[in-house]
Amino acid sequence: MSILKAEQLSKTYFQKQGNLFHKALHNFTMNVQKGEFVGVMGPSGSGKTTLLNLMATIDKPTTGKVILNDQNPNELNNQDLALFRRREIGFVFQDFNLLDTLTVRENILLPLALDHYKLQVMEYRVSQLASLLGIEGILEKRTFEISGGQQQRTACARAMIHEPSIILADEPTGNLDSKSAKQVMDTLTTLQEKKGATILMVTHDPTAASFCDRILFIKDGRFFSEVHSGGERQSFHQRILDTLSVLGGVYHEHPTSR
Amino acid sequence: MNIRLLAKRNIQGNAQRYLAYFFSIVLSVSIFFIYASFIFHPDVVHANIPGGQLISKGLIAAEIVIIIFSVFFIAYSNAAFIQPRKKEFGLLTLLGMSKSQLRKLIYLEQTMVSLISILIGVGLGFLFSKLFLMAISWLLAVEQPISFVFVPEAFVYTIVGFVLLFQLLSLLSLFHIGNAEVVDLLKDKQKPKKTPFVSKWLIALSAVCLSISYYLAGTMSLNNSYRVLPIVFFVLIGTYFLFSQSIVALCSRLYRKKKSLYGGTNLITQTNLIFNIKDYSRLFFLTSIITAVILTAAGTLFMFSADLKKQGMDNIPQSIGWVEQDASIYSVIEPSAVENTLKEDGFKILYEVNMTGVPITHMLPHMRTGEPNENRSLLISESDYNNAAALRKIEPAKLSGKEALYIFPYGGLDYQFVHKGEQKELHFGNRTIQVTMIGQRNQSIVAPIKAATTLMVVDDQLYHEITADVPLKEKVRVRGYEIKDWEESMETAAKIEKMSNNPDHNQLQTRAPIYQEMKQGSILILFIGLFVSLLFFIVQGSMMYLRVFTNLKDKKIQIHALHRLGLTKKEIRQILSAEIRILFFAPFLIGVIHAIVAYVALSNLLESNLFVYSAMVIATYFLFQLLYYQVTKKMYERAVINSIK
Repeated sequence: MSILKAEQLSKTYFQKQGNLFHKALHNFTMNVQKGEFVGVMGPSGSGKTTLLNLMATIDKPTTGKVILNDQNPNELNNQDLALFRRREIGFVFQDFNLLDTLTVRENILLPLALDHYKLQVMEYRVSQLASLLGIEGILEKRTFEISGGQQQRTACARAMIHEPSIILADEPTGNLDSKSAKQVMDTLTTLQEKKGATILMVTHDPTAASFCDRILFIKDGRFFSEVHSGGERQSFHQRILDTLSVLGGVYHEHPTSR
Repeated sequence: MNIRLLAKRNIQGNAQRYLAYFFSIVLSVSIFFIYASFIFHPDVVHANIPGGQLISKGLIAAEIVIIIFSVFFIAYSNAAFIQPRKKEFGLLTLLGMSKSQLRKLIYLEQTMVSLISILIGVGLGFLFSKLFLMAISWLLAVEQPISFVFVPEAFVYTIVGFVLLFQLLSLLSLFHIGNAEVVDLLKDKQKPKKTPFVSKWLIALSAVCLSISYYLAGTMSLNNSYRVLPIVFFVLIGTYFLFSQSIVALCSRLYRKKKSLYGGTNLITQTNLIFNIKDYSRLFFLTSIITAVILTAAGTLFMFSADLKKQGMDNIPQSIGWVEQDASIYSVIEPSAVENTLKEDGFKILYEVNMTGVPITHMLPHMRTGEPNENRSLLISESDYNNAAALRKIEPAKLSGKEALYIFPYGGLDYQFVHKGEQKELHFGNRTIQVTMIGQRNQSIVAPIKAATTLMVVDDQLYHEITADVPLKEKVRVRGYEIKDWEESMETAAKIEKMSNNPDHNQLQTRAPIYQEMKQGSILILFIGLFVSLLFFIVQGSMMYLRVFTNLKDKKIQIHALHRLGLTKKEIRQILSAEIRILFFAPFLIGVIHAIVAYVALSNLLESNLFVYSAMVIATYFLFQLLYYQVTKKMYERAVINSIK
């Protein structure tokens, strides 16, 4: 079952004055199945962030549409759109975006609190998720008392707490050292395997990407190629590196890798 | 790009933050200037204006208040401007800016802002001083309005004074930035704020201090008005600990109630409050005290002038009243002359008083020392007293046998000259009469002039026993006429005064001119006081505004993150307004409570019910505060929400 569909997405940025314009995304189509962990890779300026913003309903496409869980968020008004985002999507950001006035526990249950869930439900879900992700020990701490990796794992828990249709992760390991990055990717994988989370992740990092089921490569706003994990991470990692090297070699465009 | 240009750019970039500060400074400079231009006005200096010197004294006091207040406000603001920019200063130092250059940058920024606001303030003050002079002339009822002239002293004092003030405070604020290490500057933001320390004893102390001060204020009277100082002392201590302790305790209690804490945006607003409570508590203390001061001062002025009519009617019992030392003739003025004049001018006589009494002497304790002193009173009969009292709607006296009642004419003074049951000797000529006092009343019923200033009321029978063989010649007669619409009887009163044979101006009393004089004076004071109150009000609002915009950057980041997580615009507005609401209305609430206690004390002093007036003052203040809150909220929302996307 397809959770997220992007159909013929295009995004063109116009300058406010003058007639300069920039095509950030061009006829991009993709599908994410339920329970899938999909990565999006591409060089800087290739349109990754634009794609993620469109999926996150923070931005609107020029043409084409996004269908998330059989709904087109662009048909909603601002109020409903925010509610849609809150209920259907979980976010993990590069800069964590935790509130430093809240403890780890409160940060995790924030999406539930905003929707006025019952106190018992909130407590139950937090303790369950925290034990699954191994962060029970830091629940009462504040954000400045824990490490970057712990912060990002807190953010992952927050993204999952309301059981959204999809988790969108924007460079989740971008600000972390390799050890913390590994922990965060393990966390995301756990969410996928144990909680059946559907995840779409944008990343630069080939190691992080090797945790995915499938990687979409994007270049100059167009679909470039796709790599599937065969189940073995080592070789998947190698194939990702190979594709990236081709992607970097600007003039040799292949329809598929290898 | 040199440092001056950088300073200019910084001001332009931070314009929004500087706005309220700028506005407050402009206002205080212009009010200062307007007052100064009156004080140094040649007509006032050369005493060409009746009452001008007196006003000028009041204005000088107001100027001093403005200056002291400005010192605190500017020092507070300077600190508030530097605090959130520590990271920026750290970065500049990292890029190779020396300490002295950094100091120069800050100094230049503050000097530029201050110079611009002083110039604009003086300009506005100059424009509006004509209006002020016109208003004062109107209030003083001078025939020739005070002319609008160029007063160089006002310019010199205002500009030099404020420039010096700003320079001094800027230099002081540079000390704060001077000694910090670069790393500390850069990391300043990340440092966690400690949860403030709470002690049960300090909470108890605040409750005790406030109770003591409220009790002292509630039971204050003219005799123990020295209590004002201890009251202020206890209120200050109590309020300080109220905010630094009780509010913190309250917040941690809120925090423990997970059910409401975890309900919607409460999670964000309440934790924000708890996180910032330490910074807030000092601000809350300052602004609630300022609010209490404004409300009390403006309220007192307003109530005093609103209550003036009642005071006039209490202290001067009849519109026209006089005393004839010899009851057998009319030497001061013929009653028929008074009646005719009143009739001619179309005034309706409501009632007239005509009573005689005999002057007696008796011993009374001195008000300060308590030592017995010989005093003169007019002995009158109970029925005479009760007749006049009924006309003035005062309860009748009930006397029998050898009982006597002492009448003191001025309300508000609750010194007990006589006590219930006290035995007293009254001397009349060479006779001595023994009476038993049943008490004292502080309320005049007839013109309190000369022999009739204080009265001694005795039972009719006793009165006749004493005065039966006294010839009318040796008696004193008190007359009085009460008329309708006495406030408009200024000219008539002057005519009657002129007709009377009243060489020392103290045998005949008319209410309208005295009332008019009192009214004029109190309106003047009110007028001057309201300006200062307005300034205080604007400044306390600016402190809130400054506080709100100091945290703008952090707030933007927080709100942006929340928006991405799916917080609706409506909820964002809720969060923002909840944050400002508490800033504006928590100190207001405490200030109002303080002020209400002060009003209670005041109505005890004035012996009148000031409920309506105090409600009016508080409501007016509330409306102004609401307006300031709305404006700040709109600007804050716009600044934060525009940053989304």
